[in-house]
Amino acid sequence: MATAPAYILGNPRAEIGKKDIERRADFMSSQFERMAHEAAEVGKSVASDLNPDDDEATPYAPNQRKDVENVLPLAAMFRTKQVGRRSMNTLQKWEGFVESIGPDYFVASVYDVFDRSRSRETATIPFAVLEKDEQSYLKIGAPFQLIAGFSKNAKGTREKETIIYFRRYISAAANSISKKNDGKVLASLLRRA
Amino acid sequence: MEDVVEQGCFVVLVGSFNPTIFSPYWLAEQGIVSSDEASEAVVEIIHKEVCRFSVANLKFEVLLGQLVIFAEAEPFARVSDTVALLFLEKLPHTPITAFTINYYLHANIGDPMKRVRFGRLLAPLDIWSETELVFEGESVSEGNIGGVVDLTMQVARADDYDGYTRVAIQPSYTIPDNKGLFVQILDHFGAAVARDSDEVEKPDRNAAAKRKAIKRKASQAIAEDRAKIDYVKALVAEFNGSLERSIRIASKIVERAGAA
Repeated sequence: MATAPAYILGNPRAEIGKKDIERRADFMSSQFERMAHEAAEVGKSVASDLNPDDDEATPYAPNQRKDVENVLPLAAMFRTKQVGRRSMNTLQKWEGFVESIGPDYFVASVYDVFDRSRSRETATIPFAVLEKDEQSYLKIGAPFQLIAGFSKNAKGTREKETIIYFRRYISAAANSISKKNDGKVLASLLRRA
Repeated sequence: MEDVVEQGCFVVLVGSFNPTIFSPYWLAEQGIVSSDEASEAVVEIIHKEVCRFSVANLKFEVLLGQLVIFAEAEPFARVSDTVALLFLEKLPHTPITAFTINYYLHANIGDPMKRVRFGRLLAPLDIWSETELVFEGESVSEGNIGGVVDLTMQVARADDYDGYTRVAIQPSYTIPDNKGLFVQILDHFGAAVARDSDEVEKPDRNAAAKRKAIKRKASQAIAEDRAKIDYVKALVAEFNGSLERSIRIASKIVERAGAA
């Protein structure tokens, strides 16, 4: 690869004479040649990948070659790829609904999902536990899940985490039921949730 | 002690979908995700035949004949809520003909030999000793031990739905040092089978034609039932029960492997 003269990469106050201009032209020319060579190599590689006669070079199944028409590696799109912010080992899970709301906490009636033989309990939950998106769903009667466990973030660090998730689908129904004070229906709704 | 390192849940709906309408911003417009969540979405592709993006810790993959919603972390209930909001409220006329509720976990069972012993329990070597394959004398430390790399059991559903439950057990490749176990439970819900045989005319043993007619009637009844089932309502109703059962099954398998 050609080495760039100092005046191109560096000192802007350097004088540029006729020789410098010639050297600059030579340098630019060599750069263009290098880029053209690299482009040609890339072109060869792509052509090789897309050559339907070369089974090892192409990433597509034989019946896909005509369909993709050298545009998209469709097969690659269907490979399993996990996305998301974290993974979590659930240790305990409760379901419940909001009974009352205080200045910086709410009181909820909850039961243990993993051990349904346990009786319903009352929990006081601080707002600090709620993520921003969940706060808008906080209403009296709103059904939710309280999940405790160890989460693993994208860097692999494990930490204790408590998640409160207000049910998106049945929250409206539960709300209207709680207004009617129909505990039996709400209880059956929560059992389904 | 065994330790669940990773777990996830996903539902697969089989039907007819239009991938182009699905996008994080469309979900935000419909109130299914918040605008903040939509702005943090990662879009891989939105195309007329395939759409793939992740938003609000859910991953969507929509093809013309299949839709997958995947959650790799709690709350898994959001998967079911999203399906309900999408197909009971926003797109109620989408034809859906079957679905599966899937759960998986990767567990660290702490000792490579426990995994080997558990594999030997699942697939004893007796029958293999009759073949040319030799498993004895290999060692975990040298990394050349052989055994089960994939075992899948299937059982028919015991409820009113047609379908099956499949449990797959494999070594986990996300946990190093041969200590990992991967368990996946697939709960497939197909059409409800017409179980009431009272309405079906009893066949005359000597009349093949009558038998054929009855078979045809039964097939028609099943096809009609299949068309009548609201799979989305079924998914919403069955989701939590299925997930809890899958978690119990997977936990029992991991516990058993840990004790091997």
